[in-house]
Amino acid sequence: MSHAVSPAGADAAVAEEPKLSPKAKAALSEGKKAERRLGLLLCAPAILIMAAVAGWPIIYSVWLSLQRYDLKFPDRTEFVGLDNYITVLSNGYWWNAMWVTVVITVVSVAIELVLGMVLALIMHRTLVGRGIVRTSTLIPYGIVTVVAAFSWRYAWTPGTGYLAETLAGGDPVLTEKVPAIMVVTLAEIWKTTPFMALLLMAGLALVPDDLLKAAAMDGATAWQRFIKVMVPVMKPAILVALLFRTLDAFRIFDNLFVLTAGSQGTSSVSMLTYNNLIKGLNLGIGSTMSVLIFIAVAIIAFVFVKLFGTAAPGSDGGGRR
Amino acid sequence: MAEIVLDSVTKQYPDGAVAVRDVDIEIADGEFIILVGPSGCGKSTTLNMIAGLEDITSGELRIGGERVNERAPKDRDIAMVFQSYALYPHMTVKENMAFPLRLAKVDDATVEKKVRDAAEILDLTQHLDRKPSNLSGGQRQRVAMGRAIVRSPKAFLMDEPLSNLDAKLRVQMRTSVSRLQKQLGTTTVYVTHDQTEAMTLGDRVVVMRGGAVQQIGAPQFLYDNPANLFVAGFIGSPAMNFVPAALENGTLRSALGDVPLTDGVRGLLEGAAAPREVIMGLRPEHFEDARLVEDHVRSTGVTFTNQVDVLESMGSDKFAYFSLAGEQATSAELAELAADAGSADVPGGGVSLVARISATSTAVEGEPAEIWFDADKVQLFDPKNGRNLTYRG
Repeated sequence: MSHAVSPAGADAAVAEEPKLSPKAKAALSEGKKAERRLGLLLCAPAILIMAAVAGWPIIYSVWLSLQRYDLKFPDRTEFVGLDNYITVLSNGYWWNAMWVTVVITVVSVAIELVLGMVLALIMHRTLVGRGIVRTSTLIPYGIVTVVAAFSWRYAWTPGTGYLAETLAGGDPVLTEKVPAIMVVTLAEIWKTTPFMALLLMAGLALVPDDLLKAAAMDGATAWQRFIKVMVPVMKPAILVALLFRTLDAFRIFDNLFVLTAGSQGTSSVSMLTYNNLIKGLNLGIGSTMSVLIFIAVAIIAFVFVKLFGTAAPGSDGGGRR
Repeated sequence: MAEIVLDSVTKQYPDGAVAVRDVDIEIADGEFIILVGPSGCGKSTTLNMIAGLEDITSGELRIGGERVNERAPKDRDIAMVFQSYALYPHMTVKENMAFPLRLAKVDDATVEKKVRDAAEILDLTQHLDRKPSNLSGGQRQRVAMGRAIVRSPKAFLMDEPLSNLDAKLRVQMRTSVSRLQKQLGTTTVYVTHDQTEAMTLGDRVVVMRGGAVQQIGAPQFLYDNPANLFVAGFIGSPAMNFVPAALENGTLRSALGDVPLTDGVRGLLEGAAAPREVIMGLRPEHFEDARLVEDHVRSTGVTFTNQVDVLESMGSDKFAYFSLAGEQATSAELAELAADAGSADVPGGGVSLVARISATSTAVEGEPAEIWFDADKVQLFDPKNGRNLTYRG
């Protein structure tokens, strides 16, 4: 209870002491303490495993990224501070890969959101054959990405591919930068829209029927019910779906690896990292790129989580308990 | 404001189940009408058909003289209050109440004024900027009412609006709903499963069972002259007592003794071609402690002696519970009422009776008491179809 009180504010501080004192926090009962200990104990295994499989690799990559470390020249390993970061961030290939990644992410997630919402509404509304509709919608998501990517590659290969012959008129679209990125984006959309739809469908289930009926009685058209009632109420689910898909799309690798292998400037940041780290055996530069991807992903997650904060229904200042 | 007419309205689901059968109700302009019945009786379906939330299979619905069967809910100009209140969680109280007006593209000044007025009527002025999640149950209920009244619609539809409130608040809100309806004079259709709400709120009550209307009338009329066993058992709390009886040579033989039939009753029975076996219905308040009944009155009724199982003193009166030897009255209607009340599987053979007697009675729990009942108030029902044989309507 003893605090340092400045002479001038002594009276005021004493008067307010009961409110300000952190007594409530300090004076945990025995039962509460035991409960807290048990809680920590139960979390401990998970924390240890996460520290071993996620924490340590992250710390190790950060450590590697601060070194000049090329397995082709192991003798010249030395600590170089932030030099690797300067190298990567002033490199045209990195920024090209970053732009390719951002374009693929933004375009595919935006289209997936719209298509996913349409599919979710269809699945939500379907009364007959609900199981069949849901299963068939989910098929693309159930196919191994690499397998699907190969089938896309064959489809777009001139001579043998049906898409190349019909849609592209025999042009080798995968050998040109912009068309190749479009094909990769298309493959990505085809593959992961079902996942988006599934998450959004869970969100639709959060919207009570009465709310939509009330809106109908209040004079809202179907579109107004969707925009003014459904979307705001399911906003948390939409944000979760967007977050998951954005993070996934940002790390795009397998589709690109199979379809273009990063040729003609179609590398994503993950592709570029792979080329440096695994193919080039440059642990220093590769780790630097991994850390930069990690930072980018963390920023995306942070932005979304900030958005969540204001999206949770009923979180307007006063009423929180 | 407008009158609402349901002209042999029927609702049949695609699987063949009939939820509402041939319902005819004429609701006058400004009338407060209650649809009441046990769960699954079709009252909410009927309301949803008026609202336009469910299609009408056959029959015609007219609001203000116009057929509206094919109109979307938003084009019917009626407002609805839901049991769950259905407030938009992402909007403040003010935005919730303004929502129908905004959709109708009313200008800002008018919206502001109408919301203020409604908030004033409902005592919500200081809560206008809060979200529904920060309101109490009673406040949410009032916001739901507010959202309905801001539009001044042709009619209000209310689907069990008070059943999510606790008992005390429900009684309080019941009076304010009643007052509000009188003040606004808007045609109101109110659905409830609570017979007390039905009795206290409505100008008229529609009792429904299994998708069909059983009886329509003013609350007191339904109470005094139920058309059948179902209405008799549903309206009134504690419920009417039912005792099996037999008609023999102008008298009624029952476990309570022989009841002489008055001329009036005899006439009604002849007209109704009564069977021999009947069910006798007696309201709890038509009993009295025989010692408190004056002699000249005593002869107009029947006196019996039975042990008092339980005696509950309510302050203003006492409720005395008896059990009589013999068979319980049985009929489809009574079984359904028991199922609805959840008392179908309560053990206890024989007939149980409840009598509402004067607080000055000296009857003692566990000891025999002499009880009198008014023979003139006896109602007789046909056990086969539940019809009231003494119906004076």
